[in-house]
Amino acid sequence: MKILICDDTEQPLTGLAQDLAAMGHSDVEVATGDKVAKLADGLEQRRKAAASGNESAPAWGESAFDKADLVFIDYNFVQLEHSNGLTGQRLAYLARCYSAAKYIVVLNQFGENRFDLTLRDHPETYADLHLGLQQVMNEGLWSDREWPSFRPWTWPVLPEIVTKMERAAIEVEAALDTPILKHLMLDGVAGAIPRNVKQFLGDESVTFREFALKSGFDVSDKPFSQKSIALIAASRVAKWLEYLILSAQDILIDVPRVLSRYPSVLGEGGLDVLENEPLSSTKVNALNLPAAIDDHRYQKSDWIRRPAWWRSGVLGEERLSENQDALAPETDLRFTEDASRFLKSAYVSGFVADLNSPFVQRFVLSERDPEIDYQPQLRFSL
Amino acid sequence: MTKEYLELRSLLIRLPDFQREFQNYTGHECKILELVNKEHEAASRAYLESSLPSTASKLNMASDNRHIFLTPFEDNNHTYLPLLSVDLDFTLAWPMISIHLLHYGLDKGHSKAEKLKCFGYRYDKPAARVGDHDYFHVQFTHGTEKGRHNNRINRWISTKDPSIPIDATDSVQLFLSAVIAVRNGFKTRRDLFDEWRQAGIAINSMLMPMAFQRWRPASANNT
Repeated sequence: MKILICDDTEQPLTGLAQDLAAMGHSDVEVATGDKVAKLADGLEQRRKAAASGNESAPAWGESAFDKADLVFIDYNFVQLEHSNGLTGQRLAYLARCYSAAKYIVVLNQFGENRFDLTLRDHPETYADLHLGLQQVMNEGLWSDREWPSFRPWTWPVLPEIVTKMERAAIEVEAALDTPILKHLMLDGVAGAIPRNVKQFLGDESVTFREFALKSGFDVSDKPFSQKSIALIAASRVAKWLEYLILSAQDILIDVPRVLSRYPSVLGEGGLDVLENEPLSSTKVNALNLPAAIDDHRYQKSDWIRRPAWWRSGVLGEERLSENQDALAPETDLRFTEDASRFLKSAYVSGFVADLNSPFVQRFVLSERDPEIDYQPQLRFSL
Repeated sequence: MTKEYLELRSLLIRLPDFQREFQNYTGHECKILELVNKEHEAASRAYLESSLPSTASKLNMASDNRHIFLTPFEDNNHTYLPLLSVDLDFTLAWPMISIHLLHYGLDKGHSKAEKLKCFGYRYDKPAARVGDHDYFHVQFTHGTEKGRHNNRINRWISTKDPSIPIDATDSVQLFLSAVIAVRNGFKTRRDLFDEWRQAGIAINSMLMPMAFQRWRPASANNT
């Protein structure tokens, strides 16, 4: 996996390169100072060339961004001498729309070590993921094993998500003129998607191409390469699906919601067997969920960071004992969104996520690391 | 009593989360909302959280004219918008609770205020342990505030009879009875229970003592 790191100064992201190398990711390029300004300028030239049609610009495939599987961009470029107002967010826009970069992570835009209690992130931004610098080396971002006690459930496993994003973009290339909802198998439930969630796409029949051209680019900007359209659409639609549909847990549900509803699938011990166990993919795969659950799996798995199932399908599944007896045994375990594991209610605090969904009551650890900034604090339940 | 209060509080403060957001109302639902919202204020989760501390206390939603706007639904060529409010006083030795419901209805062919109609009813815990009214019940009302008549409600309706017994022996069951009774057609009862359950509420143990939940036909042979 080729990793590109962009920052205004040598430190502290160069330290990150060493840490990544220690982890086995040796193909890391660090662009700082003038080098990052030059890279950004190359993308700006592409943008201008696309808009005016008569400027020269680096050919598609020539930029370091084009070759990167994973790009880390520091949000703050204050120490850049010739920044021309460049911010990490602007560079993320240029990288998404004017390069073939696969997955873009913007660092420190919302804090160096923050947990987002809204659970909706920032779907409108061009970063595929927002992280704080202090979070980048969290093992839970890089591997499916050994998740530490702080490992937000919404985070992807980076090497895995890069591959998924690549496959999603290939899917889009073959379906550019297909309505997004149809391709994502959501057309049958379009009526259940709240208006303010659908509005991100534009309308119910919008195609990938239309979406990328209308909402992918700033007002007067145009695509430099037709190859960018699939990447833009895949990136932005995947983010919409992740944060506005799956996070809501009312159309698609993920594994904690499946297991807390249907603990019988875990056998005799029920949900208790998972107490304090991080729900990594390896762990989830080892559960061998029965066909009664798995028959309702959402098939577009490359578009989301973790497995999902159709909520209505699972709730209507007669083979599940909990659906036959409405009053199944209750559990004292709550799923913690910041630790990705079930814990007893005495060890969790409630908060209200900012989602268009009835399922906004969520939980985090009650004993939290003071170094981690849980925001907005107002979201904690009274 | 504290357990009962805390359970009731946890159910009540989450109820607004489960209702359709105003911005997702459809055409005629927006019209009825506009009319009803001129007369009543919506109670959000934040209002309920701040009004209901975690120690036993009082709440007077009806006299504050604050109501939870339940999800609207269509029936009988009308759009209905049900409003729910709770008055309670758990500082009393015999805690009091009344749950008010107002069902506003607007003919689908109209959008004017004159066409807005309403019927109201109230779930009560008995005010006294003995007497002819000493059971959990529901009866029609002329509005939510004592002494003030809601002009949309027909005056001829008796607010004394019927006084229908309710499947409840405490305020939590009374509240659940009131909420379960409003079937909007968009969500099943299972959905509603699922929403509470996913919010970390031990809803099963609250439902278990209720007859509606325990009742099942013995077997086909016995019928």
